[in-house]
Amino acid sequence: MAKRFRELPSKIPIDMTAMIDVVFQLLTFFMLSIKAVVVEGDFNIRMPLGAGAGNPDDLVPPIVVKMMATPDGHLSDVKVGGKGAVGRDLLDALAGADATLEAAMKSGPGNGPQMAAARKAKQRVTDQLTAIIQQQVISALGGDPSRAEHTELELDCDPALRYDHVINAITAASGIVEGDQIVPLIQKIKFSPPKKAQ
Amino acid sequence: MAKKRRDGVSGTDIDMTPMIDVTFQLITFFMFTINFSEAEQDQRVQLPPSQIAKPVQNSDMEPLTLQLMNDGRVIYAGEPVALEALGDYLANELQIIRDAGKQPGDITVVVRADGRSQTGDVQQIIRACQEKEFDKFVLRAEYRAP
Repeated sequence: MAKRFRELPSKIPIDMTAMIDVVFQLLTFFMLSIKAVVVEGDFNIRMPLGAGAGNPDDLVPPIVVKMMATPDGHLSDVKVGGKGAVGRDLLDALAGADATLEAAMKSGPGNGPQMAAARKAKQRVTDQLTAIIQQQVISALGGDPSRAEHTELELDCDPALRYDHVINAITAASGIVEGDQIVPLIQKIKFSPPKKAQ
Repeated sequence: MAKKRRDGVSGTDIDMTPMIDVTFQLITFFMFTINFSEAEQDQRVQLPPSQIAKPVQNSDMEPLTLQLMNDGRVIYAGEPVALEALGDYLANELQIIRDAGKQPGDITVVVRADGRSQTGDVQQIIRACQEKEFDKFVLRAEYRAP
């Protein structure tokens, strides 16, 4: 008996090797599977069934943003509420910035700086366009942004139009950026029913 | 000297506690930051940038994500399919939704379209969904800080 109850050592060494192995495996797994996640956002659009048949409570007529495109998808004209808004030179600059960016992307992944510059240039032109469309939308609201809540925006786009112009117009119409805050503008957005001649 | 090197201490005892602490911290960090649901961010689609897109709202209902590539094909369940064939896949999807006792109107259709794709294609996707009675749509954009 006395032999069995030997004096126990005060510190029992635990073999941690196995645990550390597993822990490092886990760590490696999580480190490798993590991705740089881009922050994304949504725009709600209202496309109820049987589009075209207006809601009876939609007494205010929608603001129509008409965007026309060249056959290769560049923006050729923008009309907000029937009025022409955007100058020829800005549209040309936008098409040019698009083409530059496209060319930079095609030339391969090796030229990051060139691509970043092209992207920045495009962003600059796009911002100008956004500001103009936004002004037009506000003046179509009668200069009173608080009326936006009950107003609907209708996008009438040429089928060939590049989709980022659409998102740009939605951005312009659905909120004003003021510093860190965003003042909401039109929240009800829909596409025009497609034209027959498609 | 001779006193210090006593009879062959083969393995010196390193105190592993701090290392294990740090390692566990790291694991916890990576475990919380990893987000498997973002696996749907497909590299084949480059979303158009926007400054004011609303943050993505996760509803309890799984959304139906349709991704439109630059070349006009739609990524459905990870596979590129032709835009014209989308109706058949949506019919399938509709059947699954109905079998689960839900309505297509409960499901949000997330349209992730490439910035370089054609607006007509986006509208065609929306129309195909409308034919199958989906009517809640969101257009997804990449948030870019102003």
